[in-house]
Amino acid sequence: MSPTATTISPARGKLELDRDDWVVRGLLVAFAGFFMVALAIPLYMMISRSFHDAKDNFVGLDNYWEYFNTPALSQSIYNSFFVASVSTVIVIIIAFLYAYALNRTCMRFKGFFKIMAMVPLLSPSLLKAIALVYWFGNQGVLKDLLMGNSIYGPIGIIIASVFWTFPHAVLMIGTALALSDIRLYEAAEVLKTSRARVFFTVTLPGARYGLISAIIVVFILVFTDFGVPKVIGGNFNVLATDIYKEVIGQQNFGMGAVVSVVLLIPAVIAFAIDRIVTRKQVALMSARAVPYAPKPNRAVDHSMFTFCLLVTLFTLAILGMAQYASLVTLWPYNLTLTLEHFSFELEGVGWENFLNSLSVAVSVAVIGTFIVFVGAYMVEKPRRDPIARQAIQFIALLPLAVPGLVLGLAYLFFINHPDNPLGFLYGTIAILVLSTITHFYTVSHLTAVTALKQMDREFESVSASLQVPMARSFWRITVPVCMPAIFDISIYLFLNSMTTVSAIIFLYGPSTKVAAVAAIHMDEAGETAAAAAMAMLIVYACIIVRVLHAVVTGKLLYRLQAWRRR
Amino acid sequence: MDTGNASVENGYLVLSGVTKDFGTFRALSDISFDIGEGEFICFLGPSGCGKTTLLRCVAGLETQTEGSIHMSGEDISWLPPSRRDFGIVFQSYALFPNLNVTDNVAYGLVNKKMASADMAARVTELLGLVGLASHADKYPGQLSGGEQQRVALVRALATSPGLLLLDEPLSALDAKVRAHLRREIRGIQDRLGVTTIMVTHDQEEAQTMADRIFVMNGGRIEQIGSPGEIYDEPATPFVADFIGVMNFLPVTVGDSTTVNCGDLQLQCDAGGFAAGANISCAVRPEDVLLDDVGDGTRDGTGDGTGNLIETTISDIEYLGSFVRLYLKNPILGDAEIRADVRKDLARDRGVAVNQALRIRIPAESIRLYQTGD
Ligand SMILES: Nc1ncnc2c1ncn2[C@@H]1O[C@H](COP(=O)(O)OP(=O)(O)O)[C@@H](O)[C@H]1O
Ligand SMILES: [Mg+2]
Repeated sequence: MSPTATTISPARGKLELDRDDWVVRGLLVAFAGFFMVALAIPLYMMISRSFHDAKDNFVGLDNYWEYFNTPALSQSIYNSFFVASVSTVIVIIIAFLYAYALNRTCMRFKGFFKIMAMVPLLSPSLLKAIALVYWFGNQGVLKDLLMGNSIYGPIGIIIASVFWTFPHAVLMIGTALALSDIRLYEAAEVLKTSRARVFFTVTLPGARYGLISAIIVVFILVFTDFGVPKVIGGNFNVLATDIYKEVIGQQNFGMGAVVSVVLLIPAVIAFAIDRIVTRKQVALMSARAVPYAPKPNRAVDHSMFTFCLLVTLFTLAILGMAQYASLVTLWPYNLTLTLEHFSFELEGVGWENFLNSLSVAVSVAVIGTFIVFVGAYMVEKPRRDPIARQAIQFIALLPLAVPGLVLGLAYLFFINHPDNPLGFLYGTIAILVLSTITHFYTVSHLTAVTALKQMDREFESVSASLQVPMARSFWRITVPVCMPAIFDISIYLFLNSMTTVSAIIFLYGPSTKVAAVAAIHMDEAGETAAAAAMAMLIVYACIIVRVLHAVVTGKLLYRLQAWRRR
Repeated sequence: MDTGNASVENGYLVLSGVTKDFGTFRALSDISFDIGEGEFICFLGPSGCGKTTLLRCVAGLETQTEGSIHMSGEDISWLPPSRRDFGIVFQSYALFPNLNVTDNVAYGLVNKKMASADMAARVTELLGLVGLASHADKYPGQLSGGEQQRVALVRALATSPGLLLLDEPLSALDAKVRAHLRREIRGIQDRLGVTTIMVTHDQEEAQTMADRIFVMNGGRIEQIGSPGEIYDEPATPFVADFIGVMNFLPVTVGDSTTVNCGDLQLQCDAGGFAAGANISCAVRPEDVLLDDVGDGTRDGTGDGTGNLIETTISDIEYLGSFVRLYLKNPILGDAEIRADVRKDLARDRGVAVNQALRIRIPAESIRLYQTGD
């Protein structure tokens, strides 16, 4: 073998760039810019603000010193940890049993229970708090059940938090339980292992990563939630309500920034733990695993059915009471039903808030899905610029660690900065849309990445060899094939935009107040029934859109994806 | 053996000194070769030896760390895939699931700004080539593996590329379909005359399809040659072992015509080795002959030159048209000699386990290799 090539080009190590490579570079730069504006700069400004006084002089840790020496404030740290821990324990136990029933038993009506578990996702968290007030408040129907304790405070926060974080926990634990290898169970059975021992040696360890993730996510959700403690917290202060009070009540932005950092740190730590744990999970499920198929067991199936029924009844009791509250003339004195609460008489509140919610949610669903999907494609598919793409992937995971209220406050500092050319965006729909997209970016991004990973890695290579531009393959192949995931992302963004409060409560303007914020204001003003009515509007919209979504995507997917049928 | 006096002028595809590192791992070292226009080449080697990496370097899907690649005289070493002239078929086929067969095949044509009538004609022609005209409206999910493979093939050929790259195109198919497609692919290649490189780990596939086989091992090319050459004259023990089946015996060189395995002396051409050197002696199982008479062959027609070995049959495998005997001899310790015997001969001879058997290894069937490289 004696090859004697006459010209030998020097090793340059890099291929020349073609047009698509430039497109990718351009988009990577655009995404870097997007995350700078949407996340990095605002957060930097907020953190920096916590080290400055009101006149913008650098004061080091003075603000923190003041914070930790004001017991009324630092007490909230303990309070937040307390309600978050207790809620997490309760919700994880209930959600584990529920998810176990759905995935590992032959209980009847599983489909129905699956849907019912997700119902709390269709309403803002404050709605659950309002319903609890009607059940257990000072004039509540079941007030005596509390044996003299007030629902306003930790008890109310915990019950409402358990209720609204329940679907998240069921989803995550359910996924973990669904991914189990039946061969482990068969092996255990052959070895004549007792049911209890199997549960503790096979079932629990198998689901441990899902469980850890669920614990961490639920903890962060409750720890950073604003809507529930705002409505039902009473004098029991938590970090999220403190931020709101400092900023809106006292106009003390520096202290608001300090509390935000105090809230941000545990959230970031918890999030980091979750990432480390879930990274280990990858190799857990072998490709050849055989999915678990439960066998009937009368005793277990019946008791699980009863349990799920109870949970579902609780869900219905909460939603039903909220609906009832929005229709009763004057609780508890005049119980005639009326629609007058839906006319929203309070100053600055009205149906236009609901329309604002719809336009924000639709914009977030459309624009957000587009940005997220293109971003995920940039991370997943090009071959070049691996470092830049990994950086984008990392940044895309960060929003999950940033509590909505913290993000909102960061935007407030950012948008109100005198030198910011984007200052005109304050109070516009655009800023609400931007903050909401950022707030819900991570989960959407992960959904998109998962879908893209399932596509053949070589589609792009084939396209390149056929000299077809990337953009054409993106529209012709990638988007159609990923349509189910794209629909999932859009509905996720829509529902969350309808129900969220925290990321936008500092950012709306007089003409762009959304329904969930309006409900908070009405509740603040004592107009609880009207607040319930406004929250119910959100629920109706979510249900209608959810059903429409199911029907339309079913039809559309059937037409678009003829190729999936044999 | 003609491994080519490679030069950019006469080779269609010329690689010189191509090396590929993944971090500290060297996946390809110093690969140089020369492929003529219209040749059908197979990269053959065990899994992980770098075949796919080499193919992807040619395509520009991986970038070589060092070395150069020329195609029809042009330096393409640093061109992106989209500016190289090739069509590629992957092991997974990578057919677009949401496009029907016609649209898949036409995918690269649409870009060429062809008139739609011309395009339709081209697609029909291509589908006719692989006998899939009646499947034009089906989606990939509705086709069998073999049909999908053919669609992927004509999709890659649609734009008439100068080079066709196939990465284990048949390995996902069952044996019957595979045998059929070997001939079909080779037939199409002959008809179109497109220069083709196919990656495979299946030596039978390489033997039946290739003009020349590049046997690879550990990121290097061990031997380049026609199917006959690499079988009959394997250049290294690795090639000898990888292509077909080979018996290896540890031997010591006696003089230029003998080697010794313990007490056993074998006649062969040992001219290239120093007396006393420890080397290995390789014999194909089909070259091991039965010898009942003791005159060199079983039927008494041999020359009786020796190279006789007394053995005991330790195992018998029935492999269709022939029988493989596993033969033991105390001199060899645990090692067994494999001998392939035609089925009728084995039957006439009435071979059975534990039976004694005398074999003969003709001197011209013995190949000697340096050990420890
Ligand atoms: N992208 C990569 N990063 C690191 N190592 C790689 C990569 N691609 C291939 N390798 C390694 O290079 C070697 C050759 O791989 P490959 O060319 O795929 O082998 P083959 O196709 O012959 O089975 C293998 O050891 C493989 O692990
Ligand atoms: Mg390979």
